[in-house]
Amino acid sequence: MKNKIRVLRAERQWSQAELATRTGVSRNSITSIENGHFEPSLSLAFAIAYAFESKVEDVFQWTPPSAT
Amino acid sequence: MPSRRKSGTPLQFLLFAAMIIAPLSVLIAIPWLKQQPDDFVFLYSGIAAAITVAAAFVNSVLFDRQLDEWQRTNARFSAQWGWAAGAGVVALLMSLPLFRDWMVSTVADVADVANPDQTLVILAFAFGFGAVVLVQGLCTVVLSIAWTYWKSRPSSDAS
Repeated sequence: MKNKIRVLRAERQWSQAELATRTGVSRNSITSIENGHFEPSLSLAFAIAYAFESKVEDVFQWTPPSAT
Repeated sequence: MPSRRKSGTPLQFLLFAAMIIAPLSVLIAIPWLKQQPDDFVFLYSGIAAAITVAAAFVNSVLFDRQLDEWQRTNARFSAQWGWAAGAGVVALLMSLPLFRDWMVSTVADVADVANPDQTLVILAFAFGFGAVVLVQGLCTVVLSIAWTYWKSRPSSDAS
């Protein structure tokens, strides 16, 4: 699963810590998710999208396994 | 819901203190305990062990509630591998003569016995260790089954 967190953060000039505060998780969580090392739960994905005032599908892009 | 980790509460510090003080009290009291009846020693040690385990359990539950999902995944990973690695290390240590000698000499010191039977000491340790690993395995299976049934129960909203 890919994401645009880095781009969306840069547009808003938010640090990872800023996004972490807005979503109520640790900065490590944001770092891992942003780098694609950790897939967030649906709840956290919605929380991140909500922080960016975006839709989940605009922040996260999931490709079905058959399409890879 | 995501949850940000907060600093420890007074209750957690209290529980952490209990985890340290209970076993420490047994270690400090060893010279005095040697003069007490065996039943009292087992009762005292048992209560101290129960306090330590209960405090550790409650503390871990309280701590877990403060973790976000990334931290919880980290804790699950390290706990799973930590248990396996710990058990493996003990098994490996038991194969080392130096460790076995240390075990026997420690038992000799604590029990105040000049020459304890080495085979008995090592067998008792091995059986105790085996029992812990076995019961932990059984409890894991039982809890896994219980969790499966609990999470598969019908929704309370279902009509």
